[in-house]
Amino acid sequence: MSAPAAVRRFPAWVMQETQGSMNPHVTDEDRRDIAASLLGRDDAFARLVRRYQPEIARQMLRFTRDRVLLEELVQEVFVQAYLGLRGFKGEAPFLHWLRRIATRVGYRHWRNVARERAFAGALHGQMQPPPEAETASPSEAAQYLFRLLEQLPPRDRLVLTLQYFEECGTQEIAERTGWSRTLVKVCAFRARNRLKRLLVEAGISGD
Amino acid sequence: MQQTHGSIDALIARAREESPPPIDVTHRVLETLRARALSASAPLLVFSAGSLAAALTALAYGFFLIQTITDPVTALFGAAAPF
Repeated sequence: MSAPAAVRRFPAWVMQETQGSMNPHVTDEDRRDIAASLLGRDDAFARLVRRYQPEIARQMLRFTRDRVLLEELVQEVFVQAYLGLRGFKGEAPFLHWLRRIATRVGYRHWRNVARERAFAGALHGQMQPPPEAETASPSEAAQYLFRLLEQLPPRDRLVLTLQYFEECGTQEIAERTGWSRTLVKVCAFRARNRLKRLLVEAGISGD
Repeated sequence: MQQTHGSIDALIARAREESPPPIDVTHRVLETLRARALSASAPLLVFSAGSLAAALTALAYGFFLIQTITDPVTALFGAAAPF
């Protein structure tokens, strides 16, 4: 794999570290592998993929329940990461940067699905009552919540998914999505109200 | 997590324990990147091949022209022509 022209020059943080000023956010092995990947070394990028794919797969599982699609989304995250590797500034751990890409890839996927549904005029069926949290497997619980949140618009769904599943605060959601904090707060407020309405419509008892 | 329903809160906590299926996309990622690199260089290759073909044609024509102009026998045949 030859390095694209855009990644042939090293970003400033890699150069600074070679001159002795260490970046506290990026581990040594990540820095080495990123620098080698920028030179077009595919074995180095393969190491980065192997190191982080379990975490990214965990995150992408919030965006799809389909195994094949899950692999495609994880793959897309790493392809986007490679193509934008020069844009990694080293101001946060590499995984945080990957998570931002993953959030955008997942959100784009949801928007595409929502567009296809709108075009096909697909309607959602009646929600089943939720499984008992004590007896349900994590997978059953995740599946139910996926179906529930699926009924929200993609933007609201993303905010709630990051808030509930990833336990992100407003600042982190803003960083991952690239939206302003105000927009995140407004979306979260609106999304929670929509979710409450959905739960009432589904016959699930209120607070 | 804030302002959600109690029963949903418990489900969310349960769902967070879910582990992803083991996947390995390393080879697929590298294959995709290789394919992209190839497709990115394809237009350049086509342009290079086209330029080469045009250059060879021009060279062959130029060579033929120079031969015609500089060959003295051509002028002799020209002078000896009946019309």
